Amino acid sequence: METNIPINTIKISEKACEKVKEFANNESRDKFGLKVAVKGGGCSGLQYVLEIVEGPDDSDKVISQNGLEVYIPKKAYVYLAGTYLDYTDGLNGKGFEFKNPNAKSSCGCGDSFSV
Amino acid sequence: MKLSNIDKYIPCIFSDKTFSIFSMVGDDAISFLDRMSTNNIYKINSSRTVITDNKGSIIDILTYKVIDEKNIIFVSDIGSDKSIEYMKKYIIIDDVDITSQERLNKFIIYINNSDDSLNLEKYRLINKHEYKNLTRYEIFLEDNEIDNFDKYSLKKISIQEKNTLDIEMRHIKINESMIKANPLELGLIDIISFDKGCYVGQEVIARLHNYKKVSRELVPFYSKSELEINSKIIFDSKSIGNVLSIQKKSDGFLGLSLVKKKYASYYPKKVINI
Repeated sequence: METNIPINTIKISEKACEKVKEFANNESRDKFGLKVAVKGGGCSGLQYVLEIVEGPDDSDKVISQNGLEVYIPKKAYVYLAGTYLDYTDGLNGKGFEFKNPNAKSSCGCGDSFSV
Repeated sequence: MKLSNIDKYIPCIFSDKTFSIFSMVGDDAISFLDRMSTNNIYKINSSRTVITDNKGSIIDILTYKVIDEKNIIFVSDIGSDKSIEYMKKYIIIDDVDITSQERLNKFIIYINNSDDSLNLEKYRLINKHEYKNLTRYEIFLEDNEIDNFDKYSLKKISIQEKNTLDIEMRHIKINESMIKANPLELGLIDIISFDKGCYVGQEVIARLHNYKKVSRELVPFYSKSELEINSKIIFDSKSIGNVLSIQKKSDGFLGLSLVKKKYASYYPKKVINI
């Protein structure tokens, strides 16, 4: 697993990129990217948002990785800088999993965090 | 146990100060408040809801009403901007704006549960607290609505009488300097949804509830000497809790305390004499 992600970016694993493309193909999307954001809520105060969208909003930072465009709203970027997004499957897999160096604590299921 | 004979005044009304009303407007207004507080905002469109931090401690209690799918009005219990600023910190990608509107007059009305002569539910911003055979309503009115109550001939009570009734009914008014407490300790279980999913503090509150780990409860006390709000209650040389409210009576002081459950059970009548 990646552990040293520069703080001026976020990194998405090859497996996570492939999974996003698979979901998009299942929805028969021709043009798509992955929106990664945070919003208030979840047990710990901030919860992750993943969404397949057609393109970036004006205020999104755009990162391209493994042939996938990733859109991060600038307001959310401060909470996500340096994050590694992975995907684990199988019987004990957790699906999309965030390794976020900004998170001081996380809830039990890992879907939300506090800073 | 009966703490006073003040319920002879019921039905009665107390005229409180004015409060700022806020509006929460935007596509994500309902979703946002649902994620930030304990009640199920999607299902219950007029009630109270508790804003908690991620440790489950109370920050504020809001009386709210969902006007439509993009507009909620609410009043903050603590009556300051603290909880508004707290919520605004969490508006990141949501389409939500919180703004202050006009000020409304707050009235508190106490009636017997069986009294259905007052049609209070029609008012746009209202909350209710029930304890045994009494119901306590808080309603927020514009100036031109105030006269509507004259026809009911409700007895007007003083702040001392109102405080005594609140102690009788185990009702605590949240304020900024109050010691940290979670909503289960203050008996606010009726405004906590246990099946709506995550909100800030949910993990802690659900665990305390499900594993019966709520460690403190509200207990009235009598004291011969005056105690200050938040001061420790010492029993057997041990600190067993804190004072949350107090009211001077002719023979001493009456109040509500938040006390460790194992000590509260020492008092068969559930009133601590200090």
